[in-house]
Amino acid sequence: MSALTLEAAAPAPAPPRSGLVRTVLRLHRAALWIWLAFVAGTAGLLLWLLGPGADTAQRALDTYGYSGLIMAMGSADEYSSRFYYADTLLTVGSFAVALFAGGPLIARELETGTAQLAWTQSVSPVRWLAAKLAVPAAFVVAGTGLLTLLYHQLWTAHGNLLIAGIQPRALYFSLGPATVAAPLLGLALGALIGLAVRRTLPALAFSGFAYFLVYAFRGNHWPFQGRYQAPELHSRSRAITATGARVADPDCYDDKACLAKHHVVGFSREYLPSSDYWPRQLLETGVLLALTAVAVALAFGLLRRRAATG
Amino acid sequence: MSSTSTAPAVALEASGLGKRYGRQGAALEDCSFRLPAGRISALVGPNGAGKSTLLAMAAGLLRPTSGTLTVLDGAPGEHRDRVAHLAQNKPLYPQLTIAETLSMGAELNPARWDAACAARIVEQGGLDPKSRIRSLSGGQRTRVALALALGKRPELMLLDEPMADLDPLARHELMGTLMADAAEHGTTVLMSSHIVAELADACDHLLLLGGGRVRLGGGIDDLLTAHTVVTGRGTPEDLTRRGHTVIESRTAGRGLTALVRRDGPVDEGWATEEPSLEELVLAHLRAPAAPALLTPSTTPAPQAVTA
Amino acid sequence: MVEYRIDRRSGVATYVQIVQQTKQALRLGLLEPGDRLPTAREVVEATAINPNTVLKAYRELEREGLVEARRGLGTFVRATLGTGAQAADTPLRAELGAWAARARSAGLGREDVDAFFTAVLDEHFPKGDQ
Repeated sequence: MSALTLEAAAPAPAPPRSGLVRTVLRLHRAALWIWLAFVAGTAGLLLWLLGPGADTAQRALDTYGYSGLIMAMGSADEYSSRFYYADTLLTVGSFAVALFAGGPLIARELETGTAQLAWTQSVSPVRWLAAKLAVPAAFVVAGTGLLTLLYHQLWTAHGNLLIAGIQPRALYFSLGPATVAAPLLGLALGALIGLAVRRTLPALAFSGFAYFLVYAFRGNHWPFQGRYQAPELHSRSRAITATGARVADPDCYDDKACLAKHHVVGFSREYLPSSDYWPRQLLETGVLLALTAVAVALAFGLLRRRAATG
Repeated sequence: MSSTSTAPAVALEASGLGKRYGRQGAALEDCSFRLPAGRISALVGPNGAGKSTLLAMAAGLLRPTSGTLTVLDGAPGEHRDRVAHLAQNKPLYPQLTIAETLSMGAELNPARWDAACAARIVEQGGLDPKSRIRSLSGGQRTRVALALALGKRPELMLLDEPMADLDPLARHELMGTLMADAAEHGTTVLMSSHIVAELADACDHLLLLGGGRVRLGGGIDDLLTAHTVVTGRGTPEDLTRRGHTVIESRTAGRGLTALVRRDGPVDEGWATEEPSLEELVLAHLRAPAAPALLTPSTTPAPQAVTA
Repeated sequence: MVEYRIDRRSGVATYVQIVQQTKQALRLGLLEPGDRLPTAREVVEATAINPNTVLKAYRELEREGLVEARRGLGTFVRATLGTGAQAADTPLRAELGAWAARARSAGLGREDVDAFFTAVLDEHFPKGDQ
């Protein structure tokens, strides 16, 4: 096997990286447009929530306090649920990344032989896989990163408009660098499964299942602290009297006479940042990225074992 | 004829090469041969003889399970820029147009790409560069795949059933293009087919695979000269006693007709005739026990691979 | 310029077909000294045969002194072959004509004359004596 294990010999002049990147972009044009449309649409929703969408809910809060938010039938309630649409979209998006990586990105190419076509141009399988992973990863990081930043912005500005419960807590603790790391793990797992299975449909199914496992252990289900020991996210609701004093909410609900009796002219409400947020986010991000690295290493190992590299 | 390339004298050399797929049997077993540079070689054998496997290993797409393979003085896959491979199913990206497929060729093979050559091949087939690959017929796809392979200006072309789904006109024309390219650049070509007649005119060299091994290898003229079809009254033993190897014999009236590998001249009394390439190949395929024959230029040097 | 036709079923080796067709063109005056033969590339592009086959045919023609390869320029016709057209009016042809007329009046059929002619031809121009 001496001639085969030899890889230190003078490397063949490789095509410049830009050509390979352009080729990958061209091959996955449709997926690229879908991703850009997804990012633009989700960003639009977040911007709407950040601006015009928040106004009505804010008025209900100003008038009746937190009671106004839970009792409101209509806009405030809708605002609270729409707030989570973006989260759902991000989840769907990250699932789509994993499915894309397993199916069209890798397995379909191996199944139809187009990967082998690329390897018989002046591109080694290793460089091919590197480009296949790096280009989508860049778009995933940029897109998800942008959305996560916006979302964080939205939480800071309007988290007070959310109806308390497990949902805001789950969102709070899952939103951060780990939101970006999760679809990266999806990409790596999808690619690994695509390389291992080499057929489109099974690869799609397995990638979906693998990412479901990742998803199931994220956020509120973060295994290291247990679902029921999830740290509390404290909220503080205050009523503001005519003198400007902040007092406890008198629980008047929408009883205007009651509000007048207590001289309440406004309300404030906020979620108090948890000291647990960063340790939890960083630990989760670290674990996700480590798993990503393992999946990528396994993918390259598998590729090297199959194809003669060089 | 330009000869600016520094092509080595041996384009492809295998020594004890083998490939096994999982629990199935071996696709190739203990294959040893060398393909001199500049030859246009037919890779012939029945279905499942390992033709595609050999070509894919030479292209650096599959790892051999045993033995060594040297391609253009390097390991397989080391000189991807100088080797072209056309797979049997002619894979192309269905979502691209022809023009995009060719620009992909230019981007992935920047050092050697010949855009004019690739465009001419597509043009000769009357194809619109703006049409999508997915809308093309099988033969049209083959044409685009060949344009991609030839546009790369390879020193070694590995073609797996290149002409299988082409109409006779396109087959003749593309074979002509391929031969012209070989004439101009001295390209080494190894192309597989199980239709021997298709290759007889175009090739000057033969590798016959059977049962995972090389059965015949060498210049076609040399191989034909080494064999004779004899007809006459006698028995196969009469021939073997003289040192000839009887590959195949059948009765002809009171005597026999046999394809023999000669050792010196055949005795008077036998009518002799040079076999056709097809006869030679078929006789060897029907006689798996016949010893292999590799001409000296096709025999690998012992311990050739020391790199 | 000559365009070669390759007949795959003729049983005649491909390079021999090229040699014969070139000679035929010389005999008929279709090629004259100084004319360039097509390059190997041109021939194989049109006929889809192996380039070495063309080179082998050209080497054979060169060996016979009919053509010469000029480096970097191509292969050129050097000599000509006696043409049938030139022989048409010679005394030899007239004698053969007179003989044929006598044979006919003696009652010989076309096939008899053919066999006669071939036998005499073989006697005076043994096979393999080109």
